[in-house]
Amino acid sequence: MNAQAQGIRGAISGRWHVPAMLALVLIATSFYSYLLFHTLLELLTVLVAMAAFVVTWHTFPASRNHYLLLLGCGYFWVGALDLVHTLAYRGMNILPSVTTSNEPTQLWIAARYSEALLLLAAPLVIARPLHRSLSFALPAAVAIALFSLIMSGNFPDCFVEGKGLTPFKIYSEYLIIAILFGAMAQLWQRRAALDPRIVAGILLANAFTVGAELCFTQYASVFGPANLLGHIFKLFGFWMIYSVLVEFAFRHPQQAPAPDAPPYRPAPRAFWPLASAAVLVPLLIFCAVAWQGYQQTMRETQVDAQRSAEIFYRHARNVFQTHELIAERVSEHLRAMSWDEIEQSNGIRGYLKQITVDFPQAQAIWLADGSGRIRNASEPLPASPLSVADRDYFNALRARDRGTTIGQLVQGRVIKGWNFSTARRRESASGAFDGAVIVTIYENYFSDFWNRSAAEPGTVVALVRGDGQFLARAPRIEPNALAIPADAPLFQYPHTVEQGAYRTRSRTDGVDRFYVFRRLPRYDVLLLYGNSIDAALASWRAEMAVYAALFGSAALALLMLALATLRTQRQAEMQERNAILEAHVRERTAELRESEARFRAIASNSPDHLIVQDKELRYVYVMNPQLGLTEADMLGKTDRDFLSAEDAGKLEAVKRRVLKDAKPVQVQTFLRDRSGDLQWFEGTYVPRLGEDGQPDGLIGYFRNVTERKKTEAEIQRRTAELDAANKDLESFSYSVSHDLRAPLRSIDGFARMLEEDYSAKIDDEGKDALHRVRSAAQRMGELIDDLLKLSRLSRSDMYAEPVDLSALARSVAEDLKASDPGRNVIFDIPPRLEAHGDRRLLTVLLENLLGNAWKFTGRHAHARIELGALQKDGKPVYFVRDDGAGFDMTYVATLFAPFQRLHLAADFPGTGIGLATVRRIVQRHGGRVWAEAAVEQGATFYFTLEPESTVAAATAAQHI
Amino acid sequence: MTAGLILLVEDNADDEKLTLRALKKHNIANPIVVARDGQEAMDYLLDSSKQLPAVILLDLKLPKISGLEVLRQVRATARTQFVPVVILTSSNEDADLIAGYKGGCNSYIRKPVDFDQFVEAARTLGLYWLVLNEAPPVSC
Repeated sequence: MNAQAQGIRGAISGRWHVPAMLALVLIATSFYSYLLFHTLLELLTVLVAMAAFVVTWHTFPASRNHYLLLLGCGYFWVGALDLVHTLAYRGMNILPSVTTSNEPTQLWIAARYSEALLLLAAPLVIARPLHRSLSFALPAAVAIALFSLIMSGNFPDCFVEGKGLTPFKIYSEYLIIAILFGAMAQLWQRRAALDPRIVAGILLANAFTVGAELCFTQYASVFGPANLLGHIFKLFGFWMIYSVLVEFAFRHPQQAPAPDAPPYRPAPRAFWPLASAAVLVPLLIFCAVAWQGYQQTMRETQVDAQRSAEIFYRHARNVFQTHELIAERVSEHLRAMSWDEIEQSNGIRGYLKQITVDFPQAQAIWLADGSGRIRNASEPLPASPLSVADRDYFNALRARDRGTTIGQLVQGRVIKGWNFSTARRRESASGAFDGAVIVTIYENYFSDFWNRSAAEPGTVVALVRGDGQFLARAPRIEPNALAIPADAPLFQYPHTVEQGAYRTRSRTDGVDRFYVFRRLPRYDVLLLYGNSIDAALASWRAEMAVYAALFGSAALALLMLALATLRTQRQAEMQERNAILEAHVRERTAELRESEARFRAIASNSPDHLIVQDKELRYVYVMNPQLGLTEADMLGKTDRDFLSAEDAGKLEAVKRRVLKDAKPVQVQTFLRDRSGDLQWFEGTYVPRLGEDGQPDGLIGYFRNVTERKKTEAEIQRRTAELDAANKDLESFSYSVSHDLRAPLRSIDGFARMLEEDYSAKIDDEGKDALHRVRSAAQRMGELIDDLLKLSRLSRSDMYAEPVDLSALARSVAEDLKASDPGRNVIFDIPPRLEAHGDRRLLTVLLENLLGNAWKFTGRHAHARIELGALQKDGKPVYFVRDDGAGFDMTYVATLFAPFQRLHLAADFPGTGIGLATVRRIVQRHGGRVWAEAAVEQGATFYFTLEPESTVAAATAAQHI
Repeated sequence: MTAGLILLVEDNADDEKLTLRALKKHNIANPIVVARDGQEAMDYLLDSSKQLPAVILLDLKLPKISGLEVLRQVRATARTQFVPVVILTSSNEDADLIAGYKGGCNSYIRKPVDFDQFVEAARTLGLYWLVLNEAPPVSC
């Protein structure tokens, strides 16, 4: 908490003069022009965002702070959206498709959403670092998606002219504020992983952004004090972010990484993704803008065509109405007059002339009788009679009962130039056809007016009769009498359709146009207006060329940025790799040095002999040269140079085999040294493989085993001696059994003889002495017998098999009971007790142990003798327990030695060989025997019949 | 028919005297021939003028020719092959027992140290081999 507080104090105290000064200057500019203020401020924030991005991006290899990196990249895209927002701002007139305050407000909201989401998401990468290119790509995706939505018109409206902000906009600001609070909470939770100053700075930036958003919910116009304050807050927020990013990227790069940030791993080559993004992003934006512009242009072209067609339609309708009016008035004026009167009347020409002067729409007025001859006219007539009987309108009037008709475009016969006429039927009193009043108009009356009014290139205005013939057309075409083909789209419409629109490429002049037609009432005449799409698109194309250049430059710049980034990244990687490599080399060098030192130490102290020979068996390396040779004697030479021919041949044969088979060969050999003594060597020749995998030499390592060989010989000699000694021992015991017993027999026998033959001559004392002599002799005989038995146990062959100790014990117990049926002894023997051993020896063992137990319970009225087994370390420990005389544990150490007795022979008879026998048998099985006893409390003899665990055995071995 | 002859092959004078005494003690009055080594025993046995013994009491440890060798030769000689041989020795080594029985001895008795026991053994021996046992025919 202390650190946090310090961080906040630090963040608040420093670096405020710059944004404060900037804010004051900007506010001053707002008095001159709010647009200028807005533009400068927004550009400043964009600049700050871009700078923050560049700094964090390039210092990332040093800082390794994923959190700051994501913030930097994110602000780059927020800045990009803000830039477009600025360009689209009302009054900037830079983006042609943007005419209202809606789009810039949408862009603003999009930028704020991006910023808020960025601040919310960024703390997540503290724990889970994001790849560097993803850090850039994810905010990019969000920004581009929002931008595309706005430019395609799919983003909700934010500002409606005359009404102000939409609810969507206002609630979005509140939502953004909520997200920002979430972002602050998120960051606070993870504050432990970041420098407190970073946390404080970002929190402060969040707070400023919240303030800005609160301001923007208030304003009704895009130019207003709330808007101004909001923008100032925004500048402060951006500045705070920038300060944090730059501060920690540059000044404290070593403090920037989070404590638990994983070690930096060089990013994989991201050139293609980055390059594609650099090209695709501007390309997509350009396409969206272009499509938008195109649609707009087309819409405008159509609207323009409709409007123009309406104007020209009204004009043409007026002209024809005037004609009709004139014809009607003239008809009325002349109703009472016959054709002859008309022809001869002097006033009529003046009357008609006056009308043509009053109405410029009527170029000339003609009066034709029923045969088509012109009887009078507003123009002076030629001397020869003039007939209109060939004109189509006259024939149409004569043929059909139609009041008015419009003739085709003709070259005048009296008045010069292209013209056409409106003709009105004159009828006799009976209603029969009686000539026509004809009002003629020059074609260029229309075309000149149209040319003046619709001067845009490619525009066409025309009057077309229902049969496709042009009455007038601007621009004019020669010959003027050309007709629109009957299969043209215009004639797809039925004659009853009053108006319509279509797009086609004109067959008259080959221009692609958008056409609108209006049908004149009561005449089958159409006003056709067409504006050239090419001409309309010309401005769009020009605009798009500018955009293309702009976005092309942007793509190029991004591409350069990507390249620069990759190069920086690669350099960082190279440096890192170099550092690792150098460290590795240092490590290896140290290892090598140590290894070399160790090798030297071993080499100089080791008796081992190491040689390396090349393919020609010349020595290239020698360690510990043997046989009294020195390195100088051997290096560069072969065995033949310093060994006897016999020894060299022997060695080289082996070495050639190693080279040929490429397999190691173990060698034991003797060589003669310089003084001619035999030296034994033992070791291995190993092929040394060259780069082609074939042996290009060999390595041999040897040990002089002469001493060992001598020792081995000595051991052999001693073993032989030992065998001989054993033989002697055997013959000794044989002698004992024969030769020691024979004198005893003599002693006993002759003592007996004395007793028998001379009893009269020997007194009682003498007899007692003789008795003692005999007893001693007999006892010695027993001792010799037991000794022999013991010696035989040691020598006899063993045959181990599964044995039921209980069965053996029962048999021994039976014998014991039979030997003294009077005794009250209970044998407690389990039904079955498995053991593995030599049946004969185990019988002897039980005879001794049970016999002892039997013997030492002899003084007790009741006795119990138990055979059983315990488990110790998974192995059985057998025991024989009695409740007899027992013994003092003080003397347990001597218990198992031959002839050792702990009781008087008078109390318990015996030679003291029984337990020695027991121990011998147990030892021969690899087991152990021990005893526990107390005087008059019985004794327990334990024994095992297999070796104890190897560890215990090893420990035992060490103690030995 | 004369009473059965006993051939005692014994190199130890003490043992000889004690054996004779033990036999006498039980009034075994049969003639006793004593051979003091294996060679002497064989000389006696191979001399066709001499009476074949009813039983040979044979010690194993003898000078010149060992007891086992004497046994082998006795069994190998047609004249003596059926003569009962009782090995009377100090040894009770398995090896000696096996060699004795393998060589075809009829009985194996270990000389006890206790003279009383020895006398008893001699009595039993005499009773058995000289009285109870039917000797093989002299010539067969």
